[in-house]
Parts: sequence; C-alpha cells; structure tokens
Amino acid sequence: MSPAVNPVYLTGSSEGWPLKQLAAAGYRGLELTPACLDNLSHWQPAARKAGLRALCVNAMDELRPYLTGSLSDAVERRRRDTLRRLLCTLAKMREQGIPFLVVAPSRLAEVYQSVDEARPLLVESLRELAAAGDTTILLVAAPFRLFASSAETAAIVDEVNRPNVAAALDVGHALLSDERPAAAAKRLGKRLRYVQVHDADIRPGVMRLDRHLPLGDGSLEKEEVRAAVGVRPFAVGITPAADPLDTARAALRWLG
Amino acid sequence: MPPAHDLPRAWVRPVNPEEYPGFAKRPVKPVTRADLDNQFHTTAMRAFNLDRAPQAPAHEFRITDIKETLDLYTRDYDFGRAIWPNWAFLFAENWREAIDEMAARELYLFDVWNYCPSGPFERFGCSEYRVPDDVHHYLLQQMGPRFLGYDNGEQDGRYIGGYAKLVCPAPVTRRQAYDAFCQYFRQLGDDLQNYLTALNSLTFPHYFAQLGNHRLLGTESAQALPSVPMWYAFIRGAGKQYGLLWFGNASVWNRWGAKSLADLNAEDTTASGFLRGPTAGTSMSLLRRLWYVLVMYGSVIMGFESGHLGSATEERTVNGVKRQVPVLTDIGREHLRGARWCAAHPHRGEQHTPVALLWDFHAGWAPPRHLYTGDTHLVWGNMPYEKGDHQIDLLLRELYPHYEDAGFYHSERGFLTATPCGDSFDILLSDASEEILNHYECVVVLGETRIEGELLGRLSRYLERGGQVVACANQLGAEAQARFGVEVGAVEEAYHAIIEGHPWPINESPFRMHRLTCDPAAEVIARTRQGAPLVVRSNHATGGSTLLFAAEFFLTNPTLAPEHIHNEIEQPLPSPYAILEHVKAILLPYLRSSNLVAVEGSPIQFLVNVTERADRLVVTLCNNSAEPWEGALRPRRARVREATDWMTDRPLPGGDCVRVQVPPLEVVVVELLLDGAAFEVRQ
Repeated sequence: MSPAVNPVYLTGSSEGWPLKQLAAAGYRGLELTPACLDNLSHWQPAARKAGLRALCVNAMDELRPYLTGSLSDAVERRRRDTLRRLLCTLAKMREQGIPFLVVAPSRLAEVYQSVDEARPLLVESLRELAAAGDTTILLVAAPFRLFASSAETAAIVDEVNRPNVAAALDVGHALLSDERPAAAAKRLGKRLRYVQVHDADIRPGVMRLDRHLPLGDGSLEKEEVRAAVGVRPFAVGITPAADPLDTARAALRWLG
Repeated sequence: MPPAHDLPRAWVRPVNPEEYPGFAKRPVKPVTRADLDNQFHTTAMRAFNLDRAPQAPAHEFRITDIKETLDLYTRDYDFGRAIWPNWAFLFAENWREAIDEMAARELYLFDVWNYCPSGPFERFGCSEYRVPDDVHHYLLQQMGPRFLGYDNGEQDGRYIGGYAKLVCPAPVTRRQAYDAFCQYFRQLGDDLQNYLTALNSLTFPHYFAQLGNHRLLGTESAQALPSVPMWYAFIRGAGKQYGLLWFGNASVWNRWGAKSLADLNAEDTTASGFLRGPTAGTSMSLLRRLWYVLVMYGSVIMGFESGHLGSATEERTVNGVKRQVPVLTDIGREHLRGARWCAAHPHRGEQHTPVALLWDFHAGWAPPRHLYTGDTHLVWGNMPYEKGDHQIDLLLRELYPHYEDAGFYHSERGFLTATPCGDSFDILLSDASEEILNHYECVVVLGETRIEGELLGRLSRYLERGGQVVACANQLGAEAQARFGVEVGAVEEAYHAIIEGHPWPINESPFRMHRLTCDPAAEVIARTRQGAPLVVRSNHATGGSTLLFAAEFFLTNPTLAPEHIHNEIEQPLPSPYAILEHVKAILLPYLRSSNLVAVEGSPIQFLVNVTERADRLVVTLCNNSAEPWEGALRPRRARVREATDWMTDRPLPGGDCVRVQVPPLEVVVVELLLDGAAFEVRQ
C-alpha cells in the first residue's frame, strides 16, 4: 500500500501543509489541485524533503459547472475556456512528471441540452485533453452530475477510446450514487487506474452531500474499500472538521 | 397622554441609499428615490415584439412596433412607467430605437430578464449572454439612472438547486460555502456588466446587496417560492443594512402551472406542457393581497408578472385617438386598481419593524424546504443545518405560522401567514453597523452566531444607547458574559421550567442548558426546581437590557430522527427539534409587546406603518383565511380620534379601539389618527 493524500482537501488550504508529519504517518504521495501547480514553491521543496511524490492532479475545482468550468457546457466558449485551462494544467503536470489528471462529467445544462447533446461534448473534450500528451486522463463519476455511475464511466472511457484515457473510482462518490465500491471497481475493470478514498453518509434521512467525510464517519465498509483499491495507486481525499493530521492518521489506521 | 420617555421609540425614516457611507464612491449606485422622481412606480410590458425568424442568424432581427407596444402598456392602459422587458431586444439590429423611445418618454427600464447560465445565446430564450459594452454604455447615456439594472433573476434558487451540490468536496466551513456562492454570482455579474437588479427566489438578498453591484432588491413572490412575510423580513433587512431600495412583484405561476385569463371561457389545459388557464396558477385573491402587502412593506415598484391583457380586442379612445386594443383581464384590472389606490394613498409611511433578528454573516440560511430541491434543512444548498439553523426555522414558524409550507400546498397555505407577534421584524446579518442596529428597539441574536469581537462591540454600544438584546447562553463568548450579567458554566440537561409567578412547573421535552451564575442585579424570570436560572433579564444603567436564555438555542433535544422527516407536497414538514414551552411563554409576548397596536381577534397578518406624525398609524390587516375576520385595533398608548378604511375611504368609529371586519382572503388598510402620541420618533 502506497497511499497518497490530498493536502488541500485535508487542510482547506493551498499552503502550510504538515507534509513531514503526513510522511511520518505513512503517506507516500500527494494528490494536488490545479492551483497547486502555480505555487510550487509553497509545497514542492517540503514534499521532496518528506519523500512525498506528486501523484495526481484532481481537477474537480476547475469543473464546477458555470462557477469554474465544464467539459460539456452548452455554451461553447465556456467549454473552450475550461479546456484551455486544463490544457495549461496538463502542460505544468508534464513539467513536473505528474502522471494522472482526474476530471469529472458536468451537469446537464439547465435548458436546451439533452443527454444526447452533452455526452458527445464530454467525449470530444476528453479526446482533446488526451491528445495533449501522455498524461493519463482519468474520468471519475461524481454524484449529482450527468454521469454518476461506474457503468456510464466505463462506457464513456470506451467511447473515447484513447490509450491515455481511463477511469478513476471515488469510493465516496460511488456510495452517494448507490454503488458499492467493490462492485464499481469490478465494473470498471482494467479501465480503473486510480482510487480516491473518503467516506459518505447514505443512511436513510441523511441528506446526500459530497462531504468527503473522514473514513469511518459514513457508510463505507473497510473490506470493500480495500477490494476496490487492490494494488492500485490511491489517495485519501477527506475534508475533516477536526484536526487534519489526526484525521489523516486515523484514515490509514482505518484502512489497516 | 403618557410622558414622552414612556413611549416606545419608532424609526420612521425611509431608506435613502445616498445617505449610506460609501455611496458616492460606489461604481454602481443603488437606485435612489430621486432616481424614481420620488414616486412609487408600477411595472408594464414584459417583452418587445421581435421579427426574428427561428432559422435566421443570431443578430438578424428587428424590434417591431416599438411605439405601439409602449403606447399599449403605458397610454392605452396606464400600467406604469417601469418597462420590464426580456433581454433579447438588446441584440436586435434596431436596439437603439427602443432605448431612444423609452428615454424620450422618460420611462424606466427595469430588470431586463431571462438570463440563464449555460443556455445557448442563439435560442433567444433562457440564455446566457454577455451585454455588449456599447449597448450598456448607450443605455446609461440615454436613460441614465432610469436604467434600473439587468435581472439577477431567481439565480439564488438556481444556484442552490442546481450548482451548490456540485461543489466537490462540499464545503466544511460556511465561509467556503459563501465563497462558492460568490463564484457563481461573479460570473453572472461579469456577464451583465455588474449592473444588476436582484429578483430573489430565496433568502440571500444580503449577499447580493453586499456584493456592491446591485441597484435594487426584490422577489418573485407567490410562484412556488418562499413565504412573503418571512421573505420580506430578509429583503427589508438587507435593504436597510446595505442601503438599497426594494420592489415587489407577484407571479401568476405556482408549482403546478400558470394563470392565464386571455380567454375566460377556456378550460385549464396542459397542452403547453404545464397547467395553464383561468383557474391555474396563483389565485386572484393571493395576487391582490400580495399587491397591498408588498406596497405597505415599502416597495418602490410593484407589479404583477403577466397576464394583464386578453386575447379579445375592443376599441378604446386615448387622447382622442381610437385604437383597437386587447381587453383587460382581471389581472390587468387589479393592477390598475392597485396603482390607483397607491396614487390615492401616497402617505403610507414606513413599516414599523422594531425587532431585528440577527445572525452570522456567513450563515447562508435558507428555509428548511423550498422549490429548488427535494432536500431539506440545508444552508448554502450544500451544508446540513446545525442546531442554530433549526432555531431560526422554528422561531420563524412561531412568527409566521406555516411559512415553511409556501409553495407546497394547492391551498396557497404559507405564502401569506398570520403574524401572531406582528409583521414587525427585519433580518440583519452580523456585519450590520451600529447605525443600523440603532433603528431597532430590540435585537434577537439567532443561529450559530458567536457574540464576541466586533459584533460584541457593536451590541455593547447598542445596549449603552438603550437597546434590548435577546440571546442564548451558548452564543456568548467570554467577554460577552459580563455584558449579559452572567457567567456561563457547564452544560446540563433539564426537562421542566418554572416561570416566576406561575404556580406549577412546565413540563418540557429534555433539553440542554448552560448553568448560569447571575449578577445580583439580574432578574431570574424562569428557573429549574433546583434553582438554576433558565431566563435572566438584566437592566443596564444606560437603559438597555438583555434577555438571556440558558437553553441551547431555545430548543429541545432532537425529538425526531432524520429518517422520519419527509418532504412531500400537501404535507407538513416536521422539524427534529421543538422550541421549549417556557421560551415561547416568555419570548413571544416580549416580542409582541413591541407593536404599537394590539390586534384583538383570531390570528391575522398585521403590520403598522408610521410617519413623523407620532399620532398617526396606518394598520394593514391581511386575512389569509377563507373565513371572515372580525376584531379590534387597540393602539397601546392613545385613543383613536379618527379612523378611515382606505379600501373604501369611509370613516370608522373611533374610541379606545376600532372594530374592523376583513372579508375572507382580503386586505383592509386603516388609517388611525390618535388623541396623542403613540411613539417617540427614534433619532
């Protein structure tokens, strides 16, 4: 097991991460956000010193429909703008040798867009990102969006049909979309290259929110997470309300 | 006549945006009363006619019949001077002609509407568009301040329902949630030249006002949107806090369809994909009540959304010219009647709102359920209610019974409600200035709000000026405890309360309370059998007072598990908490006592308007029940010398009180002239 952690999610900050302590706790890699690539000096020296490798850039921050961007926006200039920013991110990732970029589908535009219109735009966008180099583009399903299941993710990855486009599995997202993580991993099969781990509370009566809960605070079961991860690279992406470092340590203990 | 120092103090001055700090430096100036020619206005016309062919290139179309259309809505029928058109005309080949014509007629251009994120421009419907610089500059050049802004229309609901939950990960702090909200509205503002009018659909007007790029605040009332008395407590509060005027508007839509009176003999039909017809949508009685209530709330512009004209035509002569024009519908007639009533009763005064409900700036509070999501009990659309948010909800349920049902019942329950403590509250956020706090007799601190730091400083100075503050022990920071005359100790559980002067304890559902140690001068007005203070009143030497509750957020412990809360049409929405009985017994009469008039009779919605004349009150009674209402208006400090029913302009007998009848689902406004002062004008 060679876990990574998303320090932006963990601390709610793009700097001042407790990297030394995270490495001491057992983390070996970092999942970053695109903005981190503009602030290399804030974290890279300390990460190198701590032996933490930048493993992945998670572009969810750039894929908040209308707020930041969308890969299937019905307004073409917005989609182009999103692609332009992600292509810049990919260029920076190549400079840093970061192998994975995680992207997600959008929502359906509120008016005048059908699934049949949105899906080709997503496929086209993924192909354009894939063409930018050899970075692996990982499509992750996300709740409340157009394509939220592993089956749909697998189908889109197949349709894109590029060697450097594959799937990521976010086990919390899977729960929120009523999929068990192990089953979702199985459904994604060899397309699955990367796993993101956080908990989600799906008890009846609890509002379904993408809260990235600490492991053990929601409805995840340990064995199914371990089965989903297998030997794949993975990152813990939790947003704790309590002490971040304690929560990060507890996550590794929970995973065993 | 009671001595002046015994009289309640009432703030009687209207909001004048130009008097607010920073007005001169604001790049986008709020609409002032002078901009509106110091007149009340009504809205007219919702779209220009376009000759656009569906297949034509995007910009190849013209506006047709500009003069005739404006004539129809402002001369043939004098609906008003605030023209309220759809955005598409801005992109017509002859857009300058429309602007020139409106400018020449000295009309207002109000709330240019139908911007919708991600809607393709080429559809010319609910579309995302960017207002070109040359169009915007021309509008400002030709219309000046008479251009009131582009529509930020129902976008708060759109964000909460469609975008907030896509923020991944969901926010951990309310500050993060606020930042995401602002991200959405930065996009919208940039597209619309940051020159906006907020047509709210939820409870976020403070944030729009605070952004600095809005000129007016208002709502799309009725439809399937929030309860109006509760909602305008937000709107007024935001307007007063940040120096913006507000408007009213009542929609013909409801959750199930839209009223169309084009053909009175038509049957309601779903042919257009939704229910439409004479008995669909908002009822005429609700439209009518909303008009008068929103006007008495101080709206500077009022209108009905649409449906003023029928499909049949008739010949009319205007200024000696005969024209064949569409006939008026009931909506059109009611609009004209309402406008005439406003013109005949111009001295309506300012709504008396002596109590401010105040909570943390970043709270992002929204009603526990609303149109835009099936979820319940969320703030900012992506964070679960905390206990303090339930406190806000449950207190609002006491002040506006069934407010949370607005939009969920065919019976229109909740859109307008009775107001057992008076329609006399404004909602402020914690960045409200001292100047604004001083408009109020009482500030009730609610929600997950910590009384410390700058807020404590402002509340302390407010107390020194004679203000009253209501709070809960769990909201007090260490420094605040001295101000409230208590030390806040450990948390305990209790299940009863003894109110001083009552013979028996009140049984309560179990609740958490803080152990309070009180200053000797403090008055304990409720306690446990063991003597632990539950409610403490402290009078301050300067005249101010505090009322502190030991119970956490006024609430019981949870009494209902989340899985038992279902959000369904035609069904009430339970809360996992309840307000404690001893809190109701003390707090509600305390709040009610700040009204200048006691309204005797079964619960009814009532508000009181005031002017500089302390012996004159204008009372609005809105009967939201299908039963007639009969009761009495009894001014607390003087006898009624003269009373006039403004709906009929007939006198009513005066005396200690005035007896009034309000027909079912109707409004009556009564002017009272007293034999003495009812209040002291608050400076």
